[in-house]
Amino acid sequence: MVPSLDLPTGHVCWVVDAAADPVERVATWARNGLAAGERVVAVLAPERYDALRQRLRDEGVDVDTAAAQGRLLLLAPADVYLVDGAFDIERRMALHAAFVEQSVAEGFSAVRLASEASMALDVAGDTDALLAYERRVEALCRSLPISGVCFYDRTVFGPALPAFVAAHPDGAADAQLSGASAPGRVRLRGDVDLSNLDLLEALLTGAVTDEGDLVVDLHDLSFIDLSGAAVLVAVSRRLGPQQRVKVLSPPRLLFTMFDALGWSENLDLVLGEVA
Amino acid sequence: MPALSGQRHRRDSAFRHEALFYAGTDEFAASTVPFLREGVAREEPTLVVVGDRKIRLLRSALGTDADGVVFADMADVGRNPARIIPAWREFVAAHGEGGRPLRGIGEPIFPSRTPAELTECQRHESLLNLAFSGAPAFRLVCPYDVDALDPAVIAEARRSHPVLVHGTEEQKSDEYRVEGAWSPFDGVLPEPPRPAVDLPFAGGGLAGVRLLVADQATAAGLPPARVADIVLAVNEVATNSLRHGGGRGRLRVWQDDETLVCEVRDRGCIEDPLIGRERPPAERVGGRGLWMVNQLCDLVQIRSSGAGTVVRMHARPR
Repeated sequence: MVPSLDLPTGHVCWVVDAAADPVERVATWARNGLAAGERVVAVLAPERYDALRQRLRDEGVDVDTAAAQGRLLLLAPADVYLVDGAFDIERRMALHAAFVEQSVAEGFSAVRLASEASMALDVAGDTDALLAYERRVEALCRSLPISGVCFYDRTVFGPALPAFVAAHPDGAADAQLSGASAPGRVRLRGDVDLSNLDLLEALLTGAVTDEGDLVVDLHDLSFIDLSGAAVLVAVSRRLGPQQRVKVLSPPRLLFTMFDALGWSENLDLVLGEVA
Repeated sequence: MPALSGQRHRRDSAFRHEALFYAGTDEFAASTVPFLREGVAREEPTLVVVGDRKIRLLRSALGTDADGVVFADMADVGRNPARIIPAWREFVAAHGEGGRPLRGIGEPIFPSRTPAELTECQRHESLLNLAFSGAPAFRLVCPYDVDALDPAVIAEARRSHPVLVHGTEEQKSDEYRVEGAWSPFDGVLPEPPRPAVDLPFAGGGLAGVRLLVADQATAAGLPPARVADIVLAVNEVATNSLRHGGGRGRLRVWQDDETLVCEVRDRGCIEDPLIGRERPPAERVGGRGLWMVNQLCDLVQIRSSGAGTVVRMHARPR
């Protein structure tokens, strides 16, 4: 329903609407990180920081002490993305790695980083450059104790969203849906409707491979509408001739929709047993 | 006001839509049994959609000829009257290849229909003329019990059927209403009988719509599967409001006896008179929502004009 989602952890992509305020989510994420002994770093639009501090205080966090002790860092994009005023991925990655290692030496269990991708895009210049950066960050997250939450404004990233979702194999989420993709497999949790067809499509296409079926696990899906079902069918039709979409634990109404719309005759998609 | 497309009903069209007036069960049998026997003798595929008591009556009267007729219970097929045209279309598509003559008997209107159902049945009857104006060789007889039904209902039958039959007498209806003079979306629905829960919604608000409908449906005692059905139906109509109805709408929910009624209002205008009554082709993207809604709900009322659209969905516990 209106979910309190178990959000994916690790290096994840949170899809937001332009008007949405990430402060509440960041506050919860930051509080969890502080409680786990991690160094928490936020790279948001500076005007959000007052609200973030207040929100954390409301949740019982001693913000001032945390900041003074270097446990909570609220930074500007230039601090994080630029090296000597330029967007240099290699040097940036080296500095990130050094920062994580130094944090561990200081006694932190890990580093967690929240950022607004629109701001990173401004610095990187174009989506290709930002994508290259994200892929390096992903590699960093695999090799060192660092995780990241990246906020993607769907109105800014639009058609590029699938590529960025695919760059976050730990998962992607928005206000009502979360999912994780691996090659050939997608797991979804929450609701699919008109507001998040882009995230659904991005999660599905990010898992498509050249060969083999695409398994879509709907065990934790609480709702999907006709337009969402249509996206499943459309993705299945784009697969190769030997490939199919296999839906695990489809909700009963998905069968009802398929029967009503004549999609049951679609050979590219198979519905498994009802959840 | 949305008008029906300009197709004129051709009096010489191969589709014959007849109102059969009868008084009592004996007259019903006397008029319908010979019609059915003739169809069987000519090997014309025949479908009869009436109440279960009349099905038993006809089977018994036809004897072995009953094997040449397919029967379906109007309480199932036409529970939601908007599903009746698709049933006839499926029948015509399945058996009418090459212009083969077909027969049907359909009695959608009977005394136990609620006023809201009756109105929708009457709109359905008029829409039959449009739905089959492409002239399949299809003769459809619609029985009306003049003893049991209100005179106003009989009068409306004269307006929706080009041919009237009483006993062995057949005549063209002078009151038959041609297309263009009428829209299935005309009129204003009565206000709810009791205060309704009210929720305006816009983009991003569908989750709130679903939550409200689920809560209300559960509180009204609908079982979980029925709750899921009506949540999906309302979601589809609200989605249409966002896509086609100006990007926003207003939801109201109330209970009418044991029926849950959900209403979505927006500023859009529906033009297609047969919307929701034709299964969309599998490849097509649009027009699916109201088709789906008709499969999920026990009754759907649509009123639409330049001033906006109202869709009311009824769900009864099953």
